[in-house]
Amino acid sequence: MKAILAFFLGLLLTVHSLVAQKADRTKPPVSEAPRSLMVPKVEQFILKNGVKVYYLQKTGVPHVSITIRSNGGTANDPEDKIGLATATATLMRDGAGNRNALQLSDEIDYLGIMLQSYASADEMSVGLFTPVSRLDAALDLMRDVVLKPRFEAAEWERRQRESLVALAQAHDEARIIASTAFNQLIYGKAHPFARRATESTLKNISIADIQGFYRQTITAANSSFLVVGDVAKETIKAKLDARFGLWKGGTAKKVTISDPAKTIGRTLYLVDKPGAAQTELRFGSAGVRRSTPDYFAITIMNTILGGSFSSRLNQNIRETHGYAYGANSGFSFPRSVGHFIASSAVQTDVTDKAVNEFMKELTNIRNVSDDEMNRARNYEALGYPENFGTVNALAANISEKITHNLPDNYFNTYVPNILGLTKTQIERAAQQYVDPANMVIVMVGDLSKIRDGIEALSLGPIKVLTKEEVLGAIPVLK
Amino acid sequence: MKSFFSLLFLLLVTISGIRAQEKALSIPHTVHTLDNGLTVILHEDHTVPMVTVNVWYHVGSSYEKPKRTGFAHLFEHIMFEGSGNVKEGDFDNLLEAVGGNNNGSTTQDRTNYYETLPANALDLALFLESDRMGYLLEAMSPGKVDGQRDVVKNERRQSYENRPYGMAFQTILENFYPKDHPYNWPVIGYMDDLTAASYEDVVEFFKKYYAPNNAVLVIAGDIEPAKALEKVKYWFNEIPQGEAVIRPTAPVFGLLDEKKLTIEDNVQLPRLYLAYQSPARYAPGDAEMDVAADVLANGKNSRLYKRLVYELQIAQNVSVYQDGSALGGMFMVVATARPGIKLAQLQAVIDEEIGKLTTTAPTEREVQRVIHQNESNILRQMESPMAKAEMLQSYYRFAGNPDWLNEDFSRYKALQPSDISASVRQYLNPKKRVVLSVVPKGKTDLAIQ
Repeated sequence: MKAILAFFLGLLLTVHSLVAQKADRTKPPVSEAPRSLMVPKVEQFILKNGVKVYYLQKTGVPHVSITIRSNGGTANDPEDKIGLATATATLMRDGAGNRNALQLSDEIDYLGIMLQSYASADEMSVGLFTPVSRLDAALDLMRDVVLKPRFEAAEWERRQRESLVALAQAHDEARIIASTAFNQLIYGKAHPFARRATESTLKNISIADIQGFYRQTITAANSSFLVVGDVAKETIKAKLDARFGLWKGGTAKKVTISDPAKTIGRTLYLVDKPGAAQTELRFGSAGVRRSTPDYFAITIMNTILGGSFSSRLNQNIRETHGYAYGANSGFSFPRSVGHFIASSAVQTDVTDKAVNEFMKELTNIRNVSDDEMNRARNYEALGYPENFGTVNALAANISEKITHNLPDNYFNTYVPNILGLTKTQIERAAQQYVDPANMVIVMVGDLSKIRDGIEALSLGPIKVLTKEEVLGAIPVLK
Repeated sequence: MKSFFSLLFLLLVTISGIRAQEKALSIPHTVHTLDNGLTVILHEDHTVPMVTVNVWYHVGSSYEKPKRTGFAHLFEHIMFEGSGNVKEGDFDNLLEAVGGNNNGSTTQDRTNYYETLPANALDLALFLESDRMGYLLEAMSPGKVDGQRDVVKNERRQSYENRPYGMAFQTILENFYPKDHPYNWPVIGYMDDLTAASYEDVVEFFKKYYAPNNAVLVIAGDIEPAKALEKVKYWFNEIPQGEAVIRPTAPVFGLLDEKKLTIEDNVQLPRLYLAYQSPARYAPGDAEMDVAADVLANGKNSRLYKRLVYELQIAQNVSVYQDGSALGGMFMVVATARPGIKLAQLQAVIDEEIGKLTTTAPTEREVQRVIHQNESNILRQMESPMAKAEMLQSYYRFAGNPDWLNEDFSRYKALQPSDISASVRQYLNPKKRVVLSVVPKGKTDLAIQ
């Protein structure tokens, strides 16, 4: 009997599953409980020469990211030699040790690795990304780039010409014109975040300048390492000691970048780009330091305003009105005080209407709904594990933690910090950090078609700038 | 991580030089077919508690009709506007509320849609994807089509009309492919066609192409495959199979001469584009031309970069790529001249260097460089469930086997340097190509005459 019963039961079950089961679509499925994320703990150790190494082992895929960071960057460019830090970073990989520029590049490409060097406002960095199988050869090259750059005059002549041509090309790009003008108006033209190399400052930089900048900046006392990837601590320590152990000296540099003045009043700046199919729009003001206790409230407020696809700006400008392919907003957080910016590229003939909608959203963000708040908090908190999926994502997150000197438990407390925000905190952040009455507005487009409409909005005084006032004259090249 | 074991092994073996013991590169997965024809591919990766859901519909701009161009891409947008049980705007609202992201993209051959979200919310992504596959038209309206039409026109303005050199690629397609070839128009379509698209066109297009039997669903990430498959069945089984889709075919054609074109643009510097016919994706010769592209312009020591940019300093930049698609390929050389340089000067050097490659094989080291770079790229992709999902999709669509990674990489490893020059000889004939000069307004004297 038992057997027969079991047979019948089996038949019944089979029949049941053959009947097409309709999914319940009356409401969205409820998610299971979130799975826990193992948040990595960053270790630190010291090389023989005293240089600090931040280290995180990530196994899984056999590759490694190694970054060397030194204090000092474009903010340290002398007024008459703007471009010097960038030139130094670029030339470091144009020949090093016993390899000239072509030989060095050949070796990097042959190994299939990435070895790059950059200058940011307050930091010089050399970054290596390599399969574990090529780590030794890759580190040899990295050592040469960091410790033995050749700085050949012919290489600088080449790079100089390349940079001058790039300056000329920037005049073609409405986006570059708009962003450059915006930075100049927020920070002031002489500020490190706003100033740009020009024909004369580039021509003013000599190989001796580059060598001098290098000697002062890329020193052991002024640098640290960040290692993330599939390599054991003892292994990488030995490899770094072997190559960088004799690197000594220098003094730790302190880079101070002045804060931008508070943005006062509302002024519109127009730059003519005849025939443009769209107008590049930028709205914003001076921002706030990363260390502010309001950081999390600002993050969620911005997610609601323009930091996600479902944000108000994107919904309004793109989905409701079809004025643009997209619209967004964000806060920049350098070591010093950064800025708030909202931006889009809108269709020329609706520029005035789009600007009007922007102004509405920048004002209305002072009130948020429970629904928006919940969605935004979940969006940032529950999606957080994505920041730890790859070696590069990890390196970027750890790097941010080091740069801003964030607390040791920062990664672990991020989710509760976000989920614990109240509506009052979010609305207060909007009131404090998004102030449409005190804002810079930049528009780059076809003034013959947009100017009347913009004037009719009566948003504030209008000033017209030329491309040359923003980017400087087009370099004369032959 | 057992899924990466084979790869790790490969690299360890490579450095010790015992190539004979190499294990195959692979993305471990299972394939299933539902009764309605939906193909389901599952891949486990427990690195972080996230999951990627990735759907490819085998429809792209090559499935469109003339005068109705841009449809597949317009459709990509419409698919986010709500469906029978998902209100307009809720596709994003619901996903963001669980910590997820989504997007889509369209090419000549396929459209993809994907969500990345916490693994605990997998059901939500499956609900959303199945709802728009099964019930899109229940929620469709002329108003929604109009709304996305405007967005797409602005996407086009941003990428074409308002971007320096933005009109070049469209001009090349129109002149490269014959009128009746389905690659003759840009994926984003023409402004007039976007204006003309009617609600009825949208309905017809959806019924034809967005059925389960024309779709492949990949789930990659923190999943238990058996449980994930049950979920897929729950959400997708009820969607009826559509009619079989006929894939587009292309007329056989050959560029018979050198077609010279010039357009004027708001730019400082003239730019030269050379477009040649080349093999379809994964077809014989595709890997060879891919390597040829890198030998010519990838890195400082590549032949064209070294001469044009580094030594002669007559170009600001140069790039070369092999773009193999389902119905054929295009091999493209693009170089921007330095001020005062005529494009003819660039073309002379390019022709000279390509000529050298036709007669003399590249060095072993040049070929090996490309292979090593491919190897590193594979490693990088192996770290991302999203990238692995795309590989599984692409290999399934274009090679008929989702786990074709090893075969793909083997194509390159098996190459002899002489194979490269043989293919270059076959495909890069200077008498059979489209030559486009984009010059600053009023400076047509800088163009190729």
